Amino acid sequence: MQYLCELLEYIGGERDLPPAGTIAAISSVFARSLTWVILLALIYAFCGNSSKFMYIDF
Amino acid sequence: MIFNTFSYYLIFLFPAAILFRAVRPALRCWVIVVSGCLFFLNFSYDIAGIRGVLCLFIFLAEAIMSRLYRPGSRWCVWGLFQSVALLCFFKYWNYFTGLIYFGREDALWWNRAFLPLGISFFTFEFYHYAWDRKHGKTEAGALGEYLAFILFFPTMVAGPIKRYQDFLPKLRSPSQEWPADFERGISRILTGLVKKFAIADLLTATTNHLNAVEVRSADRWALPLWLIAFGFKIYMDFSAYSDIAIGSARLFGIRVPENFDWPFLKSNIASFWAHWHMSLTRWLIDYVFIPLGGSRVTAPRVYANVLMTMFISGLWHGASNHYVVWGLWHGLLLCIHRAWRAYRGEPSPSRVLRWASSGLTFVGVSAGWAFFCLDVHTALLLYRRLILG
Repeated sequence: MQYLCELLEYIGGERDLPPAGTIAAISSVFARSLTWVILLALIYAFCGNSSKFMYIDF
Repeated sequence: MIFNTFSYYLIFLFPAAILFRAVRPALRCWVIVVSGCLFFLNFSYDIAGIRGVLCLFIFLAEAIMSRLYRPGSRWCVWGLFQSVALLCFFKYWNYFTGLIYFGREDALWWNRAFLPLGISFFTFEFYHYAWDRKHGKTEAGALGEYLAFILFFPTMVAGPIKRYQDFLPKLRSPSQEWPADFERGISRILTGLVKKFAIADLLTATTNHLNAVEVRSADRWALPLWLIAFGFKIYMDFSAYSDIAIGSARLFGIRVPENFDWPFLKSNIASFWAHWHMSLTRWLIDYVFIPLGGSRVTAPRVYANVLMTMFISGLWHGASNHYVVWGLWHGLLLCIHRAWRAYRGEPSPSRVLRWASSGLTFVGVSAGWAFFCLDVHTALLLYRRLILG
């Protein structure tokens, strides 16, 4: 569980380095570019739902 | 909206971040001040028109006042009063007058009440600075540096709530690792947008059912699912917001505090609060709980301090009775946890017990969401239906 959390944090930009034991390819330019493409595709697919953030002027 | 608009990225974030890194160090804070002012004017006008725009004077007045703060000075006390008064006036005027005129027509009702953009957050930063200056815990810094602290637009609207003594060194010598900061920062922003669009907004379809009519007519099994969905929605929504704010700050080479650290996986309510909206929790501990006496007083006083802190937390979340009840519910859970810990000592390291404890914490937190998203009567109706059918 700890490893999974740290891996997700790395993919999400919270950590600078992947957790120990992860294959080096995950921090390659290709893998990071692919992550951005997937994230952008998800944003494009779902952005029609957009609503206000709850914590602004709540 | 703000963080999910193109104008935020194209007009404010990227130009300001690039300019901040391009200019000479002495001008950096003024890049933040000017971009922060433009950001506030633009989005305040969208929200509250010319009245919102005029609220920029709040920042300017606070910055001028801040030059008078000295350790032990009465001006600091005035600064504390001013921060609380501002928040009470704009956010709680109608709530408090409603309590005064309870059950009668509210003669003091402010018809055109509005909330200046980010007031719940920037007043907490004002308060922190006045308090820490009074107690000699932070240096004054230059006027431009303090203005940059309060007008730093990635965190201006909804945090994370920063500390001046943490922010100042980063403002003076921001990270110079452009490629890493931009790559990590943009990854963080994209992740935040995915959490918002693909998860939080999708959960809205489920949480829209949380109203009196639907609670009355729903199948019993649906009620806890709606509450759990609301819990995940608020987590995804606000952690997405924090991701975007933290990622945006990273583009400037400035790291701001984290706000969430897997709170739903924590094994007790105290740990939950230490990992949920962390910058607020730390603020409440430092500026409410500890000044009240913290945990260095008699046991009944400690419980009273916990309840008072969570009462203020609830009231801060909204000018409504149901937020107060939500805060008190969490205060009660924290008191029960404290009493249990005092009775049983440190918890067992057993993995099974830890998972059971996490499950129990999740149930307690989820039960509380009813008071967060529903008025008190509807929340009680939901519990009645949940328990009695």
